[in-house]
Amino acid sequence: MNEPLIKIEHLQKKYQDNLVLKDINGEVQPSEVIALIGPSGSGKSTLLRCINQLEKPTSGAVYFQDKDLTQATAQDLSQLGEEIGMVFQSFNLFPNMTVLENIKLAPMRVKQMNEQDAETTAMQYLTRVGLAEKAAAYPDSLSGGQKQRVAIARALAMHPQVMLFDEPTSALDPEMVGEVLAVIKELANEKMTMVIVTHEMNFARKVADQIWFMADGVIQEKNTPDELFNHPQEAKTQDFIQKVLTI
Amino acid sequence: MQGWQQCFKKILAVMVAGLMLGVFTSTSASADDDNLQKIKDQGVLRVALSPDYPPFEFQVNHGQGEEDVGLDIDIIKKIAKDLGVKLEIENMSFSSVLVAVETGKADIAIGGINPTPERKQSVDFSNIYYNGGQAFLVTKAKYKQLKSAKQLNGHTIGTQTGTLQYNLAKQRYTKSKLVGMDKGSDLVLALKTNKIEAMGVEKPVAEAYVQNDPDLVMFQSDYDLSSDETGTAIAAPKGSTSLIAAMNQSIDQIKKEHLISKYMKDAAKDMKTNTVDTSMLHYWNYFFKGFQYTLLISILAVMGGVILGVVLALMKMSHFKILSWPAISYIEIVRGTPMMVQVLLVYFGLGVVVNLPALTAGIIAVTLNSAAYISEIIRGGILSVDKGQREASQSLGLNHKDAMRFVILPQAFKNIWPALGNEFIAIIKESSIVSIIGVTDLVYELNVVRADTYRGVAPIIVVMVVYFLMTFALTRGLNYLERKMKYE
Repeated sequence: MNEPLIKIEHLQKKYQDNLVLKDINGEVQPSEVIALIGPSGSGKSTLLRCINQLEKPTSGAVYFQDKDLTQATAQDLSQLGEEIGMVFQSFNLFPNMTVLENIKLAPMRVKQMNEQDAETTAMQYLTRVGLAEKAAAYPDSLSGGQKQRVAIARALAMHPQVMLFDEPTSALDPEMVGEVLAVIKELANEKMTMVIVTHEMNFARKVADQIWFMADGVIQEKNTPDELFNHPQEAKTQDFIQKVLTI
Repeated sequence: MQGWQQCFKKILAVMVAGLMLGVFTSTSASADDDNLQKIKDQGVLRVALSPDYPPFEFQVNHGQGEEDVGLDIDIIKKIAKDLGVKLEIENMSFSSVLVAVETGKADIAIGGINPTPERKQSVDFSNIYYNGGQAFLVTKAKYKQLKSAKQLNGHTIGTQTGTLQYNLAKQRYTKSKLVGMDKGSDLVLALKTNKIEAMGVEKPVAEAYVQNDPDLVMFQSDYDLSSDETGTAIAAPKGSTSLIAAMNQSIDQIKKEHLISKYMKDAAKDMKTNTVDTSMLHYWNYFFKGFQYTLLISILAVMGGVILGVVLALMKMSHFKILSWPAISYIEIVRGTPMMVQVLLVYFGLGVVVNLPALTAGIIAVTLNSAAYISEIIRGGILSVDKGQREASQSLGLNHKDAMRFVILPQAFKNIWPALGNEFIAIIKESSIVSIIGVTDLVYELNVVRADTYRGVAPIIVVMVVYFLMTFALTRGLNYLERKMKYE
C-alpha cells in the first residue's frame, strides 16, 4: 500500500467542557473514498472540519502527506485550500458574484491564473456538472441541487488532491439529491480521494471503499461497506444499522 | 471576566481622554509680551469677530460676494493701518472669539465686547473705545403698558447668553424671569411672539433694530454703571502689554478726532443698503455659498469616514489587542462626547500645535466623528455576513485580505446600505455644528442673513428647504443604488 494521503493521530476536540472528539485515529489512502456515518451529534462534521483546520483541534495531529496541519502557519493553511477542497451542506456560494465568478475567484487570486485560463477552467468544470448555461446567473436564481453542483465545480477548479463533503445533500429537496450524488459518484469513478459525511446509507454503501461509523465522539468501527452493514461488530453499530435499515 | 474587561476598557478610554486634555491645556500657556513684534513680523493683524451684530459688525451684500463692515471694522482697519500691517478677519461665532485669542487662532478679538471682570481673567483689554450704554427693546403693543426700565421688575426679560446684559438684568430685576439665547435675531423673534416681554441690549444695537423694524420701540436702562462695564473694548492675549499700548494709541486718536460718530454714520449707511431689499432672493448667493460648503464638508466627511471606518472596524475586530484597543477607545470617546466639543477641540485644541484653517478643522472634526459611527455600522455589517462565507473562502485557500475584499465586504456593504444612508443624512444635518468656528456653511449664512435683514423667520425656512432638498436627493440616490445592488 502507498503512503496515506491523510493521517489522523489521537485527535481531540473540546468545546469548553464538552469533549466532541475523543482520540480519533485514521488514515485515508490515495484514491480512497471514505464515508463517515453515524447518529446526529456524533462528531462527524467536526472531524471533517478538523481535517482542513476550519476547527482547531484541541490536541493530536492531522497529517496531509507529511505535513502536520495542526502546526501549520496561516500561509501554509492558505496553500492547504489548493490541496483540500470542501463542499458544505449549505453550499456557501458567494451571492455577490455570478456562477462563473464564484468559480474563477480562487484560481485567479490563489493560483495567480490569468482571467482567460481561469474562465476556461471554470467553464470546463461547469460543463462537467451540467450547468454551463448557468455561467452568468447569480446563485440566488438557482435551485438547491444546482447550487451544490456549482459548489462542487468551484472546489474542483482548484485541482485539489482530496475532496471533503459535509452532508452535501442534507439541505436539498428529495428530488434534487440524485443529481448531486451522481456528480460525486462520477468523481469516485475517476479515483478522486474523498471523505464524505452523509446520511444516505445506500449511497455510502455503493460508493465508499471504507465506512467509518462514529458515535459519541469516537470511531466505533471501520470496515468495508459489505462487512459493516451485514456484520456489524460493535453493539452501537448494530443498533444504528438496525434503525436505519428498518426505515 | 467579561465585566472586568469592560471596566478596564472604560478606564483606558478615560485615561486617553485625560491625556489629550492634558496635552492641550499644558501647551496653551500664557503669551509673552512679543505679540506686537510677531504681528509686525508677519505683517498681518488677525482679528476674530462674529459679523452678526449690527451696527458693530455685520456683512453687506454687494451682489457679488459680501464684506464685513460696521463700527468695529472701521476701528480695526485704523489699528492695522497705524501698525503698518495688513488686516485679516477671521469670522466665527461670538462664543468662540475670546477662545480664538486665548489659543492664538487670532491676535485680537473685537465685537461690542464689554470688559467684565470675568473676561479679564482670561484676556487683556484695550481702553474703552465706545460707550453706548444699555437699553431695552419692546414691541409697540407692549410699550403701552411697559414704558420705562422702572416698570420692568417682574416682567420676562431676554438677553444674549453670557453677556453683560444678562448679568446686569439678573442683579437688578430679581423678580423677573430671565431668558438667555445665543443670537440677537432669535431674541427679537421671541419678543415678537411674546415669549419674552423686553430684550436687554446694547444701546446702538437697539437703535439699529428700531430703525429697521417698525414693530419695535426702545427705552433707556436705569442701571448704575461704571464705564468699565458699559463700554466696549478690544481683547488681546494675556500679557501683551505692548500690543495693548499700541492699540490704545490708535483709540486715543480716534477719540480725539471724533471718528466714532463718522464710523457710526458709515455703519448706518451700510445697514440701509442691506435693508433696501430684504427679499430672500436678493440673498441667494449667501445661501448658495452656504450650500456649497455644507455639501463639500458632507462629501469629504462621508468619504473619509467610510475609509477610516473600515480601518477602525477591522482594527476593532482584530485578535491583536494592540490594534483593537486603540480602535475601541477611539470609538468610545467619540461616541461619548458631543460633536460640538469635538469641533472646538480640533479647531482650538489642535490649533495650539498646528494652525488649521476653520474649514479644514471642521472637515477633520466631522470626518473623525462620522468614522466612529460608520465603523460600528460596518462592523455590524461584517458580522452579519454568514459564517459559511468565510469558511468557504478559507477552504478555497483565499487569504484573509482577499476574503474580506471580494467576499465579505461587498456583502457587508449591501446589508448595511440603509444604515449607512441614515448616517450620510445625519452628517449633512449635523455638519451644521461647524458654523460655531466660523465655517461659512448653511447655518452660518443663515445667521448672517438674519442679522443683515432683520427678518427672523424667512431665512430659516429657506435653509430648511435647502437642507431638505439635499437629504431628499441623497435618499433618492441611495435607493437607486440599493436597487442596483440586488444580485439577479
